Amino acid sequence: MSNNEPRLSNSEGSHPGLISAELGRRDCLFRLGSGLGAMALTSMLHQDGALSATRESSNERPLDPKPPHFPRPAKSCIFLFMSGAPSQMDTFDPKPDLDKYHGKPITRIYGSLEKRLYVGSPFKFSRHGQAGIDVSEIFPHLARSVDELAIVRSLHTSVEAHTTATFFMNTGEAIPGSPSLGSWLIYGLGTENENLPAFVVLPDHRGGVFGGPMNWSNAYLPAACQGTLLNPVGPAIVDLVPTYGISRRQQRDNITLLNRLNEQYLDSNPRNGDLLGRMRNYELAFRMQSAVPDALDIGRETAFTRKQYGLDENVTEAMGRKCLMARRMVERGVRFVQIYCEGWDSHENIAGGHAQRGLEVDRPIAGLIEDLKQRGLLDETLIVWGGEFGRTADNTMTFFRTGPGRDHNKEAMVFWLAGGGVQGGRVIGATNELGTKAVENVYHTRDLHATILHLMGLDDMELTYYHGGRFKRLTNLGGRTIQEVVS
Amino acid sequence: MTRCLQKYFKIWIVVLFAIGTLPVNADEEVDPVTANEEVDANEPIWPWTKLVEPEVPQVRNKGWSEHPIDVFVLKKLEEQGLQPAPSASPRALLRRVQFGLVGLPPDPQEMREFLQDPSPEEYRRRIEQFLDDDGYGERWARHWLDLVRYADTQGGALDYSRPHMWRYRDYVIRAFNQDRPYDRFVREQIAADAFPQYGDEGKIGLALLHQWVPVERTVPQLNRRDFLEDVVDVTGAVFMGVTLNCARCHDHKYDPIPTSDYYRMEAFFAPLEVSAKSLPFTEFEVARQDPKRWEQKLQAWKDLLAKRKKWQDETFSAYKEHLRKLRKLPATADLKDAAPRVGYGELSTAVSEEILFNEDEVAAFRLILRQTARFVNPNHEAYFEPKAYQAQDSSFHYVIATHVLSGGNFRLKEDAVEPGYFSAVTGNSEPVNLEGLVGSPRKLLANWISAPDNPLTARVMVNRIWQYHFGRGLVATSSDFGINGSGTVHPELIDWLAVQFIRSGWSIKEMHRLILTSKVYQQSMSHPMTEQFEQIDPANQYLWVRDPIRLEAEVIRDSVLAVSGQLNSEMGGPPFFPEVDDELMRRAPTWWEPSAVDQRHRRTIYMLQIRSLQNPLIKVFDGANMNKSCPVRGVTSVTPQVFALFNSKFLREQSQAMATSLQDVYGADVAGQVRQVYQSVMQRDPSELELKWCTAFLRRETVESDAEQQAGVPADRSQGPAGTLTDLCLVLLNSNEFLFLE
Repeated sequence: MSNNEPRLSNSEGSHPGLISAELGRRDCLFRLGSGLGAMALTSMLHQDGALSATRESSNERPLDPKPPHFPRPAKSCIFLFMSGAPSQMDTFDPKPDLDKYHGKPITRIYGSLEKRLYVGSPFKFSRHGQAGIDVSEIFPHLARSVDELAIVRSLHTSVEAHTTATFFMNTGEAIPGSPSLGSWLIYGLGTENENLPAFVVLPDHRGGVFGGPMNWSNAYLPAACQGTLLNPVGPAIVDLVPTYGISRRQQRDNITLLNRLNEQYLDSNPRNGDLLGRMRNYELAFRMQSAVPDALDIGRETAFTRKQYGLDENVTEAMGRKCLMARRMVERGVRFVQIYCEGWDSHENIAGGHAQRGLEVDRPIAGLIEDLKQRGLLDETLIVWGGEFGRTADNTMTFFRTGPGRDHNKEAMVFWLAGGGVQGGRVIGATNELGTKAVENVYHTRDLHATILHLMGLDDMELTYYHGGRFKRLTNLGGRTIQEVVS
Repeated sequence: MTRCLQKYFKIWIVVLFAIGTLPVNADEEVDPVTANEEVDANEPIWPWTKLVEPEVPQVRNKGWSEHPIDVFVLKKLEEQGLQPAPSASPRALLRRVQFGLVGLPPDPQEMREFLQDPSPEEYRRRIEQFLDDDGYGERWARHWLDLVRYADTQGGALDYSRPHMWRYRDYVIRAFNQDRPYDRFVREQIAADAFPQYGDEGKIGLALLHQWVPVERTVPQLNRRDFLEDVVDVTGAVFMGVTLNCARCHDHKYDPIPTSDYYRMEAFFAPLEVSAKSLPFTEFEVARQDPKRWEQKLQAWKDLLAKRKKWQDETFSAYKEHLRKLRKLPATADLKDAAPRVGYGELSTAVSEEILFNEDEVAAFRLILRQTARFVNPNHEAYFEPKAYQAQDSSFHYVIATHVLSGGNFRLKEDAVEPGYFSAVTGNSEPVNLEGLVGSPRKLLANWISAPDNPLTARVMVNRIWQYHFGRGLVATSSDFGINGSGTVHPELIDWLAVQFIRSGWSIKEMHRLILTSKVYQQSMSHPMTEQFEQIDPANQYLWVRDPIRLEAEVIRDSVLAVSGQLNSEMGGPPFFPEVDDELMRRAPTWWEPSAVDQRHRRTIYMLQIRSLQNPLIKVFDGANMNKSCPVRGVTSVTPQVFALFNSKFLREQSQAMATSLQDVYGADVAGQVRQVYQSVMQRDPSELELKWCTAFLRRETVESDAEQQAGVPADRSQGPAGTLTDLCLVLLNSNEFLFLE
């Protein structure tokens, strides 16, 4: 990254004759600091109290790194969102009993009044790792890393429509308008690298996310906590780089002039604490123009690494690219990366659908875990895998004829967590004999949220924000930490 | 229970005591330390107290001002050992007033005239001029729309269009422009259907009751619960500064609102139904004010939709035909009889596999899918229909009595309750008398809220008006006047203002006159004693100086258009569709075609408001979250603001428009160009130093651009000097001086 760092000190030389004699103290500081970036300046001003008098000092620099509530190894989190909701009984929760019932009718109404039949899993399971944990055949590569995974089979959630459940998984509420998990993490911990967005969303290359941008919204938290959508193809961030033709030198000159004018204004408005922040943002934005493409430039990775993530094959290329980008970002201090993989909504033909999804994500995710481990980053990177809800054990007659699938089910879903100090090689909780309902050590989405916060060193009861007449938190009235995962 | 909750719980118990809700025998459980003697057991606490006009106090420094607002503030300042700041410069003042009332920068010529005679009389004349400006309503309606979380779509998972909502937006603009008495404004929005004298115009206001965000629920009763909670919540917060929703599941933890009060309030709305119904356009609306233009726009919209539909149908049938031929079906066979038919699924597969279709065809197919999507699709055919969201009480669930629900759960019914007002105000829990009532019980509620003796309504509204002028209310949490809100050190001033408000006939414009002519309002944002005074009152609660104000998102966008000379001041009508990056629309996912350029250059309040995709420029500058009532906007500095203001196509275009007109007038006169840019953007001449920098910038940039061009640098700097001038305009539009008020 450093070789792409813009040389801000150039600006001094480019305006001979414009001597700072007429300018005030801050101006000189600005010049002095400009080689290192304006951050140096702001921190100096912070120290000498120039900013301490402003009203909302706690909100003023919400991105500054903050200590966690208690020490934990995890520094970053990568959330692999399997959008559409994967099936628990075809991935990590084998149900041999269900196979026996395959094709047998069930008296139950779901959606329409149509006759329904049980659906056995079309996939074989086998035991892997030291703990001998069952993993479906759709994840042959991931199965090799099963000793890193803490698999929670006993999760359930509150809603079972895609959009509301996606909101719920991301924000703890089915109604849009609450801050997302990533925003809470940024609010609690700040970021380690201001040259990159602190909270990044990598959408599926095929399309949108159920509910769109409200899923990475800061809502009422400070705007700096919002997620930034990075397009895996094309320009990464809208308007990060001007779409009209302008050279970097030209931009640099524009910023230099802007800085000069703003410095003057700063001197005549000492009580305005926002001015420096705004000036700093122009420098940051300018540096992001090179820092973001640099973080996303997977071309610099070795052939070995690229292969590890499946970049050598068409079917794994899209997911592999995103996983590799995620590693490059957490390496650079990005706090929260959310990767979406669409297409798990297998109402029909789960055999084909899930097999295809497995093909797409298996190698990239296994590669991500291995790569992080090899680089010694796995311990400080929490990985979370799962969808917005689970699936049913039965399907309608119609689909049964063409190739059975599974419907939505909020009573049981499977998640796994890895890295970030998670105790791997474990299976937590259990569903009933057909996998339709979590029955042992049952945990709710809110508990999952509390657990993720805990793994990042945050106490969900302490991480609050006063809004709308009360102190709000991600878990609403609180969640239980899943002890088997964190200890 | 956390420590902090415990603290407030104790306070709440004290308050319940104060209003006599708690039985006497509970006193053993009250912490004797908390139940101190400051709380008189029979007296409600502010703001629940009866509103009486406080006497204007005596101050030592009698020479500063005789304006009662100033005297109230000065009294507190003197108590704290503080002194008010000197007056702001005339230039700062005119900018402050014009941005505050109209939301646009002063015209350079008008600024020059004012600077020649900045007398109090001239200042007052400007205030009147701005209050008479149509832009005043557009500016102040935006504040109200924040509170009711206005949007043109319903939000939630499906985010369907609400194609008639713009009539409510226009109604709010009119109400402010006409200075409609606030008490009537309240009554119209809660119960216009029960006040025949307010006519069709009043009924448009009922759309306030239809701003809720529905959630996909499997249980229909829950939808109804959500709706009722939303209506009660908005009524409490917007009109009375009470966080009622807290009392839905439990007695309010901080304020004197028992759960039964919540359900008594809800009972007013129990029979309410809101839906889109025919409502002829009124004589005040754009459809009848300018029928010719309306007809043209309607026709243009119809044509556009028809043209699009035709293209979609033709493209689809061509694709199907293509597939059918490939199957070698008999050419004469009717498509319906051909077995198997070419269905959508097959077509979709063929397209996605890119086997039978080329890239352009695939793109067209995908575009059609987005154009015809069921959800988040603002391309609604009904925008121009004479319909509005109308409230009526349905006999279907016309059951006045409703129940307290345990924990807010509709299955756990407790005591039956009937419509009633806040017990903390009325002193009892008696239901209202419905005998002889004609029309909805909401009429009674609306009358009660807008009555002069309601202790909350006027206090809350004058505080909001104050907030929008000062950047912060006297009660900073302007929708929460409760114990857990910010509270205020100026209860007397609020009371005095509230009494004047009611006495003026609830005239908001009168409140502006009152506030803007005070010296407190006209104070400078710097103070010679800043260092000492910040020790005493760092948060500036006592108002010894004015706080800096950053322009709001909409004001920034409108002002850029005004400065560039591109602002289209056309008022009213269905929203215009802004230009948004296609990638962002695709991710939302939604699709629309941007309106014509002149339409896109209208004020931001007329821009399409889609709950699931906020305009990026508005969002990064802390625009209101359209899902929840927004009483106070944040002011944050985040890096993406730079993308929106420095790098975006919109800003570039506006800078270019500025540069072009400058060049037309000033030709090669570089100094003249710089002076004019400064006049337009800042309404002042550049200092000598600034002039030097800017001319050097223009000359040098021009030289270097030419050199780069000759050297074959690919950037499209081919505009030559105009390109450099564009850069200068862009830089000034990004300057802090443009974005902040002094």
